[in-house]
Amino acid sequence: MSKVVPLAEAARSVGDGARIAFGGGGGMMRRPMSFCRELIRQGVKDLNVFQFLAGLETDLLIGARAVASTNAAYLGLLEYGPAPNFSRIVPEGSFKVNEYSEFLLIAVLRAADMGIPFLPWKTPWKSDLAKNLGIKTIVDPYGGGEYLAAPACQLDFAVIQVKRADQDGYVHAPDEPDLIYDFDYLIARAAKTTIVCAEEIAPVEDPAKVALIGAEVTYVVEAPGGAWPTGMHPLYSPDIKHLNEVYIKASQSGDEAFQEYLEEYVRNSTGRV
Amino acid sequence: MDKDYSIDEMMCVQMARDIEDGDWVNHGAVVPLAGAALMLAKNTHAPNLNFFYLGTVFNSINPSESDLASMLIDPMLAYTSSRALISHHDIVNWTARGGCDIQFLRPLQVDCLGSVNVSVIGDPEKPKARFHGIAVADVMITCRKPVLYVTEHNHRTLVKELSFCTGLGRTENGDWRRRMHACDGPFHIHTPLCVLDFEPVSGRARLHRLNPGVSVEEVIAKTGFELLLPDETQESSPPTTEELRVLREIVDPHATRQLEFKETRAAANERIEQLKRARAERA
Repeated sequence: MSKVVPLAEAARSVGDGARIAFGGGGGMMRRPMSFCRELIRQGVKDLNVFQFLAGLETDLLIGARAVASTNAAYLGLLEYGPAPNFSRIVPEGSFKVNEYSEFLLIAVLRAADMGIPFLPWKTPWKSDLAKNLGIKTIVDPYGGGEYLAAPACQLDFAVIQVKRADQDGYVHAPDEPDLIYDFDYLIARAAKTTIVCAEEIAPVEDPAKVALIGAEVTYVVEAPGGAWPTGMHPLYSPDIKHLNEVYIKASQSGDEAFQEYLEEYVRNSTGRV
Repeated sequence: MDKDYSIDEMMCVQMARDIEDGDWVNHGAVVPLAGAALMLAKNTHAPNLNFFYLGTVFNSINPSESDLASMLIDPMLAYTSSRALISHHDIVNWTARGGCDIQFLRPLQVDCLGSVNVSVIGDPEKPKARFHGIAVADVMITCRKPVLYVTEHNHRTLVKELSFCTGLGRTENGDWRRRMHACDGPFHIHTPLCVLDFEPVSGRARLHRLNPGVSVEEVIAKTGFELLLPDETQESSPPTTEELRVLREIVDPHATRQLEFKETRAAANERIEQLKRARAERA
């Protein structure tokens, strides 16, 4: 049965306060931006956002005041600099920053992926990260050592942007495995509801090139150009001109200017979804 | 006496000398001084080192391109010149099970046990700025020799008390770390003035080697925590002619390492931007 639904319908399944993970990698690559814009148009609030390397998708939602907490090992635009809305709004204390370490975030997702309540894990022992996240410890029944018990990350939603998926939800593996491409599949498997935004809906002809099987996917959304202004290799590059000259400029000019940005590029957006 | 090398070259060379031939090095993103140290070691005394390169687009193993600026402006080189692309799961597992010998880390703050803050400037409850350490907290536990460095030596970087502990440093007697089968903790702290090591029993930072021309008194005055002193003060040997040649001509001719120093950041940024523009024009 076809899993294809319109963008608005898939986004409507996300309620206020949802725990939602986004895919994407690199400073400005493969971020499900059109999905985030639709969440903003629908006025979703208090999202608990999970990302490994959180970037423009999370920053946009923060700027739209749609975020209750960020849960990430990194939040920024890597080689393109700090995330401007995050940096501007974080001193207000209007959302919670839950800093994970890279390995811990992967451990909590793996536990969910494996269907177990927690995973014994080594890092980040004795850090304020583990303390603030309330991570408990467990004694190794074989060797006696004490480990962190990384609790399975309960995700309501995972949203990823891919080059191609078919109508049954089978996702084509990337031609070039870029930075943390496999994180997308981990969140897809860990979440209760998985939404795949595809540049094109077309058959995956080679069964050896399937990255996610249909059973692992809830909805497929046709979203050509949906990563803009981030890039989707090899179809289009990140729009760095828009990032620097429009997005960052608006954000750095303050809340009013960024609300105008949202009006123009998100709420009344014509041409781009 | 005029020195014929700059402070970034001095630090880079001292850091490179922490790498032994055959070591496995994990190299993170956007730390070009560490990258220059890695490539310098590989092209001098450690030709058999292996490394994981977290590029801006690809995760790769042993890219053969050695010019750091080229890697910065053309991320494809991390793919086309590498031995393998590696999934993030595999490199996390490799590191968690003890495969990584060295990773260089530049904290915002470090205390006398080498614990680090890379997360918060100011009060954690009311932060002036908020960052994320990515893998710092992990590396401080899993890597055999985490090597710390700061590009300013003062009371803001070398502090009595961290405002936030992102990653654990040394522990007294190393007890906890031994029980956990973890590494000993940080190996050295490199600064523009000196190299610190750690006294093994107390786990506390100790003056190891002074840069030429720097006095013990200056280091003590500029260090926010109480520093242990060795019985006899040693001096770091300056870069050799060969190290300087490799660094300046092969590894980092555009001096991307200077991006990590306040005094030279703007000029280094401008050089990289010029290279990017030149590349865009060619394309």
